[in-house]
Amino acid sequence: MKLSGRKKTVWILATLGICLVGATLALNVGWILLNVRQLALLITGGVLYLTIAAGLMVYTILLVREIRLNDAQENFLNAVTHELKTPVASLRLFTDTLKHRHTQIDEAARLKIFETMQRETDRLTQTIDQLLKAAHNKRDSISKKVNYLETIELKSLTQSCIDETVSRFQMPESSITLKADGLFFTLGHNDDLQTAIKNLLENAVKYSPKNRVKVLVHLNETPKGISLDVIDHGVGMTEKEKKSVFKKFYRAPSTSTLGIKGTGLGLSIVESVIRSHRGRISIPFSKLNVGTTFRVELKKQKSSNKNGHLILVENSKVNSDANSPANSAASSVEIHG
Amino acid sequence: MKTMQGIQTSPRILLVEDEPSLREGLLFNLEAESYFVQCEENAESAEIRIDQSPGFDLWIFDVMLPKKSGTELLRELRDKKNYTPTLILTAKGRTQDILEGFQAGADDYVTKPFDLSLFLARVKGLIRRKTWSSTQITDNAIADKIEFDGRIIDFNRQVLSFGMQQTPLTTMETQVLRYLFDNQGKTVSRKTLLKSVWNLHTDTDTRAIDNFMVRIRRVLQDNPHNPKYLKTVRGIGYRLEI
Repeated sequence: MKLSGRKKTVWILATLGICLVGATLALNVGWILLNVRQLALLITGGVLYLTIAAGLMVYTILLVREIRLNDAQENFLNAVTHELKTPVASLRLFTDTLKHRHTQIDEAARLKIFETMQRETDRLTQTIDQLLKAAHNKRDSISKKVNYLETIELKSLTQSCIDETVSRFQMPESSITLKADGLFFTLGHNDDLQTAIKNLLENAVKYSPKNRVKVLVHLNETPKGISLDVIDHGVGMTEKEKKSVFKKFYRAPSTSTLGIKGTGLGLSIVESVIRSHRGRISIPFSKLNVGTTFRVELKKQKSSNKNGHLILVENSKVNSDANSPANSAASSVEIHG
Repeated sequence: MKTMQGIQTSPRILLVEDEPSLREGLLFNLEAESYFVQCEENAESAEIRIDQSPGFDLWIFDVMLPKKSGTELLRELRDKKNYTPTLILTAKGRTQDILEGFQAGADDYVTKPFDLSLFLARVKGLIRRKTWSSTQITDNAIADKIEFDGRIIDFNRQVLSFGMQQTPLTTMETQVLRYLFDNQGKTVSRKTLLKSVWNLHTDTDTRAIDNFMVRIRRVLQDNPHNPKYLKTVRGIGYRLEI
């Protein structure tokens, strides 16, 4: 990841090191000269001493930060290696099986193999998408993208995400239920919002007890806009975990204990997508062994564009420009479908 | 291959893999090769299985398992003097990861993704090795042994004998010892060892091998901290002097 950032830190550390050596030399010389000009040099020495102390503190902080970053990168690398190589290994294994044992496999087994291969391909695609999204999200915030936004009906979008998740994890349909009265329109990027919702659902499923997944998705209209709650009855989080859960590469300690696979990017992507939509993501509830509720709050789309028309918004920001009548008249183009 | 009341039974394999698709695929292929396979999803249940029904001919362990890793599990089992041949199967393919697996006591290492034929050949090789080591080779012509300082290394059976005590060696330990004895008196670089024994071509820190060499020293002498036979040549590698 951020190579330039790391280089910068190394550069700062090196400069700091050189400065500290310089300061130590100056201090030594100072002590020698102290006999001659005691008072002035005593002051200089004191200042230098304080500088060295402060420098050492900064040095330690940067070093600790660098070590943490290294650890996070190492964990991330392991997780990504696993998430990329395992489905590939599975695909390779089944391809070899079909090739070498075609006479031993009956039609039913063949069909099962194809289904497994399809699932593994989806899993691989999802991981690759996550990695690319994580890389792109930083660079291209939504306002800097090509600047065309869609009116999105969140109920149908959420339902399609639920269907996909249920099929991906081979769960009964009742595992995830959607509660939504009416339709909920927002303005944004369909693919990005879909990724965010799918990531939240995947998270809820992965952290729920196996074969007992019970997730409720609640869409609600609030005075400020629309809220989407994803409520699970999974392992829950501690206060400390809640604070770090949206950080890139962060993986809760329970992930290794429970064998939950992932890259540590999912929730950071959700946060980045929601923020770029000028929305808000929060965790209103989480308790260990009880469950977690993630809440996404998005802006409501004005009623004039409720028919699913594609809207081109040039040089505008999602929030202020698209919702402002003056701006929408000046810089938006509606394409009626 | 075991015999029960004269009836030949299929070799027993324990497969520990937490990925359902890989587990199913491997199970299908191993059973198609007439092996009797039992599967576990994690290290804890594998330990229970090994305790309750010992006598596996081969263990196949994934490394990245929930709670306890495959290498940790193997290390614990080796500490308990259980020397069942073990194949490590993992996505972690860096030199230090591979060496860590061997250091834990693995006999072979396969990185994901892998070629099915190659994987099956390795499984077959390890089971064959197990069969050989449980067979007493009496014919001196085919016995392949080295004797020194009251110790006998039997390369065919992969066993170190010292007095009445017999210690099984892993395939990799046997191969390292074989290489060192073949090059007795010569300094062997770490890089050459990695290339010749593990078939690892690496530009990374070759010192990862050092921990493994401590294991080898334990085979050669009682006190590995004061090396008598296997000397470290500073900055280069190792030299065996018997």
